[in-house]
Amino acid sequence: MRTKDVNAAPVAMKPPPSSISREPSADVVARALEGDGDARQELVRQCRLPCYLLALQLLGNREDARDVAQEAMLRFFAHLSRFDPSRPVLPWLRRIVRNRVVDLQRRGRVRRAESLETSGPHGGAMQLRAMTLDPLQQAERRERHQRVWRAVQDLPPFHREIVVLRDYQDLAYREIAEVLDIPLGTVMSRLHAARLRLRCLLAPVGDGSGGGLR
Amino acid sequence: MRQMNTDCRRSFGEELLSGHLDGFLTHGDRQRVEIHLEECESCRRLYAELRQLRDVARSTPFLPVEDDLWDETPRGWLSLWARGLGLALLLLTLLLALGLALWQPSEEPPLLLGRLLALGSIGGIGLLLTSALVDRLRVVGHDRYREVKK
Repeated sequence: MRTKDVNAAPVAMKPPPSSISREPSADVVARALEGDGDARQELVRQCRLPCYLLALQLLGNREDARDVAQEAMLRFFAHLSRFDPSRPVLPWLRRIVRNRVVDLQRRGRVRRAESLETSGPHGGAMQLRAMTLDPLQQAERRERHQRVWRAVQDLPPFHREIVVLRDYQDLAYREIAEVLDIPLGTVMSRLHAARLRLRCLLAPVGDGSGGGLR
Repeated sequence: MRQMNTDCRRSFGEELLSGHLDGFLTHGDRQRVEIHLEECESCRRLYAELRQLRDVARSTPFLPVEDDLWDETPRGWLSLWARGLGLALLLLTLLLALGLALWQPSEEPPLLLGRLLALGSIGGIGLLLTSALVDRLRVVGHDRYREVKK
């Protein structure tokens, strides 16, 4: 019996790269509230990349992600006077980004999803960091990332967003429930359904054994 | 489509597998899942596949983008149309002028044709300038950070 695998429950996992975002300090937020230009600039610098990454993962293309991130920042500053500086900023911004994404999707104004590596001045939608693996392993790893990314973009929006929030953004269930404004119990069931669907999308054609990456 | 596994005697909802994977179960639920996974091969296989998918997603690296990404302003439809029409008009005018030059008619070309060529050139350049002006106005009008930047 493979108890070892079963018992390898994830307790302390390394966070995914896209989730690493520093929460702006309460001091910076407070100074921005007072109208400090430098503090506002600092807030923009700290917040727009996490907004952009979340939008990119939800929408799959740079242009829409950039627009959504910029609009999220605009709305944030428009309502900054009502913001409690003692509360974290990023959860609020995430919610704004997600709502804006939903608006775009409802109006059918989302551009086509890009591949994981596309040519462009910024190296494409995403760049894969150089890894300390041999070229073959790097290529295999890159291929796996590509496949999963494409499958995630093929998910229906309500499944895609929960997979992005959990597996790419590393949010806790409670945080996901806040962003999506759904009950905590619904998070687990919806996430599981999304993962099963993702697994189906990645299943080799004609193979009834299920999904996974081989 | 996956066949339903009739041998699985799971007494809890399958979503608890995801809960266990993410470490968000109560102690009691975690134990139930772990005991079941020890006994059920199909659930163990499903669990391993879900974990693999999660791990691949989590390990996808994203690099920061350069600051000038935020300076790009998408062109509007007016600018694009003006630019396209302007270029097309200029090209047409150029081809017409080239054709005349190659044909070298024995008589003086009609005045109307000359006026058309002049109109085409002016119109094409005008449309291109309009496109540039619209872009400039769009950048100024949509400088999303003018309230934030110094």
